[in-house]
Amino acid sequence: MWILAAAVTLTALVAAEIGFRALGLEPMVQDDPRLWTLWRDRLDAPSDKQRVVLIGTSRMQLGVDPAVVQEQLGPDFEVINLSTNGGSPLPVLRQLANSSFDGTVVCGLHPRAIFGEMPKWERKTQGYLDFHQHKGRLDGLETETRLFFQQQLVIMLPDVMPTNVVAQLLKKRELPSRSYISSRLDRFLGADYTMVDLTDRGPVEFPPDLLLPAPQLTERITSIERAAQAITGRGGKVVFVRMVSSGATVAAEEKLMPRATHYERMKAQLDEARFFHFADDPVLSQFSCPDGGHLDQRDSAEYSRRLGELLRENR
Amino acid sequence: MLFNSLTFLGFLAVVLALHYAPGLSWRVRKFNLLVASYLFYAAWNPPFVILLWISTVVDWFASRGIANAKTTGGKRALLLVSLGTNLGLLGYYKYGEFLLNNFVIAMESVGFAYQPPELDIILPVGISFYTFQTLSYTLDVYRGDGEPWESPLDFALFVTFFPQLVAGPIVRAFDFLPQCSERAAASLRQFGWGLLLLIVGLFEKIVIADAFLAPVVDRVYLPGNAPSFVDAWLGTFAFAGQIFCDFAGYSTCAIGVAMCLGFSLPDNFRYPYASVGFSDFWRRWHISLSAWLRDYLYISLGGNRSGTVRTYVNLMLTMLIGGLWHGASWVFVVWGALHGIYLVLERVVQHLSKAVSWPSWVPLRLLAGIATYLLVCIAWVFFRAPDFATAFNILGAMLWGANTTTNAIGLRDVLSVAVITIGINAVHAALRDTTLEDATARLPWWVVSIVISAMLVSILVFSGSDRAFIYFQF
Repeated sequence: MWILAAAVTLTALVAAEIGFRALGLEPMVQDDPRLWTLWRDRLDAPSDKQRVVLIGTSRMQLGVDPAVVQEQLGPDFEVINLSTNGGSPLPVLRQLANSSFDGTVVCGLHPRAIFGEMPKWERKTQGYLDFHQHKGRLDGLETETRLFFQQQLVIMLPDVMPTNVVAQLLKKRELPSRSYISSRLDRFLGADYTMVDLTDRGPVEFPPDLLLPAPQLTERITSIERAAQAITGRGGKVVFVRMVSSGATVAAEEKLMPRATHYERMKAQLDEARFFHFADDPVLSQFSCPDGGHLDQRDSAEYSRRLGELLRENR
Repeated sequence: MLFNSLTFLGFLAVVLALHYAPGLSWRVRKFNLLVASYLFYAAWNPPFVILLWISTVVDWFASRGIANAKTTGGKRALLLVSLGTNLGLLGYYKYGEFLLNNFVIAMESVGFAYQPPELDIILPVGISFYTFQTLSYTLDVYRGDGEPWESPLDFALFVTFFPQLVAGPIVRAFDFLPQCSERAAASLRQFGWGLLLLIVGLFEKIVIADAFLAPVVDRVYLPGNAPSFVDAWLGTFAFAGQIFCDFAGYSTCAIGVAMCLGFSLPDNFRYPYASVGFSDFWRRWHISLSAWLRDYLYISLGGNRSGTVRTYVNLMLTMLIGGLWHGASWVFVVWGALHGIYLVLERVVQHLSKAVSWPSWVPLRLLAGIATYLLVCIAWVFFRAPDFATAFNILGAMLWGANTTTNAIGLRDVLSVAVITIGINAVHAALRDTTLEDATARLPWWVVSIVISAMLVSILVFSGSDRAFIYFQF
């Protein structure tokens, strides 16, 4: 009985692995709370290097390659990527402020995440923080083991879970193929927009109810200021980077949260923090986002190189 | 260390290799199991192993003292030491913040503003389970239902045995300890059955509970959410399936792992969604806890020996405490209270109709079964909801419809929940009066092989969801 079960299981798994590889899928690490925690734990480990932590939304995770920033900053620095795709930088900023962290925080300034009411984004990042807080002593080992298998086997990809395969079949009438997003161990997400059909995109409009009312906006900026002060008070640095957005997206953002009343106000209030706006830099302002909010992986290397230069020049 | 982790598989492989390594005495094998159990527990938070040691040492000496005490007063004093220590630890770690918060609210209601210091207590995993398990030993010795065990090694293993340490089943000392007297080794058939149970448990947890049902439940039970009538019912049916597959999945894994090591643990679930009535439900759901509450709480309160009204009061008290056992929150108390009310009403109906059990007429039993399931689901709303606002939101949508008619759950999830809910209930109805072992024995061997393969493949491809077991928080 067990021999037949083992044989059938093995045959099914090998067939699935071969079949999905034939469709062009490749093994890839999963960017999940486990991988985030693995990197978060490195912040707590003793090190003689200066830590630079990247926090932000998907714009940061797809747009800034930590390896390139690391290269720009040199061997005395260690770049750790704690951005969360679909999340918000604010819970991480608060957590770093409440810890003993005294390195550099590079916080992606996504207008909706910073000036808007995005509970879903905050909840997602909070889930990562909760996982980190409640992890067991052996979770690091568990993560490393899972990562090993994820790097070897296509059948570990979420895309090939039967539920997702069926959903794709029903929706697009096709089997899963290679995703336009690839994830790396250092949590960089590379987006290949040549694989995405961007022709059918509707107008970009953000609902006005995501805008924080004036008193809450003041409270939000003050709480960010307090977090930044806690970090700079320990000798750390806080840098806010308004990531590039383009086309209809940047127009909609500007309409809902104008630079003068939001970005500039925050910049004026947080005088101990550094601010970089993509539009102010001759290099960063040349980039454009295929979907309006995210860089293609072919651009993110160059974008990260320039950002690394700015960080190096201003450290 | 979670059963649904690769680390646990590695750990189990080492434990099994040591347990069956040739040339070791039974005493050494038991010692290996004890060390493995401490390591298993320490994988979460090493300092909390000290709590296990405290429980072990206090109950070991208290029970010996009780057996040797010359006077009833002496016995009682030692029992109080055991109760005080175990319930004191449980009270501090599990209910400390809850009591303090309620004290603050009570003070505020009479006009005193009291700002207590932040306690920031971390709940030791499984403390409710091992506290009740250890207490049962001392209570049995106090009642004369068992003699103090001679071997401290056996007793420490009883308190700490890793398969059921953190989420049950809550094992009785005199069911477990005699198994330590002689070398426990599973026959090849038992080992295979244990392995099969482990696979079934992991399938329930990883595939059904985590991959299919949990995402739907999370969406519906989001605080501030306003679900439609359909969403609220689907989310609650999904939770009924999730909590069963999560918890029964853990118990099945625990029983399977113990069996691979040659130990027998009691059943914790017996197809509860096929229950007809609530007494039946509690004989089938979390059996080891309901039996514990019956034997050590309900009967101690007087059970049904002191008249009808007192019986109802005892039932309510037992269920309220049972609710509170699950978590330091009033929503759990309401969940317990609802089940208390169900049990009392059932007794009232039976008393009025002069029937000792539900009638055997099939259509009526079917109706009673469906009513039981739906009322159990209504109670689950309080168990799952993070707060009363969410619970009443969901309950309102379920009972009186909601303001919104937009369904947040897509067709794919509707179909998943419907198929799984019907599937679980059908399996429970079909196996109600039998066991999984008997049902499996009736199938051709190759069918069992195919089912095992399907479960194994599903476990592997769905292993990405990676959630902790719900009952760990209790």
